[in-house]
Amino acid sequence: MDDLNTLLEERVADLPVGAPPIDAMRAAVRRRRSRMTVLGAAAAVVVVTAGVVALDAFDSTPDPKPPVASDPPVATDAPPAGYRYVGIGNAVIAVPEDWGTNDTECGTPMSDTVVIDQGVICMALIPRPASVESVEIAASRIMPPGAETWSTFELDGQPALRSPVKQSRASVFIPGLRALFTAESSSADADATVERLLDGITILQGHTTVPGYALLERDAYLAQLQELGLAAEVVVEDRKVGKGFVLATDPAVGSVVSPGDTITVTVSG
Amino acid sequence: MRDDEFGEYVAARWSRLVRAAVLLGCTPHEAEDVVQTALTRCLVKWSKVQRADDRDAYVHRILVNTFIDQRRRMWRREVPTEQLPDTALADVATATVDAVGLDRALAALGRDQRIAVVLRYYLDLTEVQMASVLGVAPGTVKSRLSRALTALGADSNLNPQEIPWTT
Repeated sequence: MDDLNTLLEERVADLPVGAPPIDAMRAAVRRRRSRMTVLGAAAAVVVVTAGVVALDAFDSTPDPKPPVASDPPVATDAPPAGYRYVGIGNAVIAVPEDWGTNDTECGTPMSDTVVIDQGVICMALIPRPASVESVEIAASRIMPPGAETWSTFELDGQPALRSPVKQSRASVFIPGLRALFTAESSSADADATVERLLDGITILQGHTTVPGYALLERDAYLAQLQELGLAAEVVVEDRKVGKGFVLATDPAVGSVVSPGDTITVTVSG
Repeated sequence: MRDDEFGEYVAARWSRLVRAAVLLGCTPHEAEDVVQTALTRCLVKWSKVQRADDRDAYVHRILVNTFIDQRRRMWRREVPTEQLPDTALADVATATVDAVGLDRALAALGRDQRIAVVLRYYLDLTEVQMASVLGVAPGTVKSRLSRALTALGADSNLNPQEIPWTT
């Protein structure tokens, strides 16, 4: 085997390599961090006014947790360049920024997408088009089927399980956070893509994510937000569905937010 | 303190990582770009890198992922042509006949096999380390390497008499 070592070694030995641009790398990280700090500061200002709204919106519990927006944002919670984090609780996965959310037909992804909190979907077997990648994020209180054979590992200090890739699909389950991530691909290099997507799972230190609301009534959802230390601004919309259901949130479900941030919740009235 | 350690780490590894990226198929310029992006990602999570059992494995993993991401973006942007372009290395003026042969043989490997060859025979990772870096089972590493070596051994761009590892 030494010969292949030598062959490769000699092949690039004379290649001129410039000095490492350490300063440029540090500057890039500083820029990213200062962006995070500005976002954090903006959130802190919002909370002062939004706290009242949150209490009005959910007045059955008199003693909400104080917002902790003054905590400094944790720099390592920033996704890699060109990616966004989406997740459940503080478990998130990095997906390319241009991916959609719930771009599915009857549950089948039609283009690169995150699938989260879909609620009711129709029952139909729609074939997945080629070259479509997706990550499904779900809450799971129980072990997924077959998980006893998955390999165990530690993910940012949390015990986690990872399935082998089967039929271009694999999952990571974090029992302590009840978070299940499933990546699937129909690209030519599907297996490697699936593995790489799952490598992008991380546990946020100082942030959380907007919880799902599918089929939840307003009060149950507002209680959830409060538990997470998030403020809520309720917008009532007249739609022809039962009254008091959550219709939408802004930021969208799964987006990374800081404790104390205000979530605009649209409910049917 | 943390930045100093990062600086030392980069100073020690930069050239080797750039050269590894070239062996993966990048032009020298692309290679520096990919390694710079990968190391910047590492710096963002430096505390995590430091806590990792095997710091190099963490960095290698980010490097491989960054390389794959970058290639994927290029593939999406590019219009397919009927002829495959020569590999980047073949254009280097100083390339010898052997080097061109090696470049062609590496270019003929599948992406995963080429990555496996570079990790094993240039970055000197063990198969166990490779399994962790690539996030695949050790058996998968073994089979990728074995298929890659078979392909290289059969490649007419490399002189069969000079590749004793296949016999």
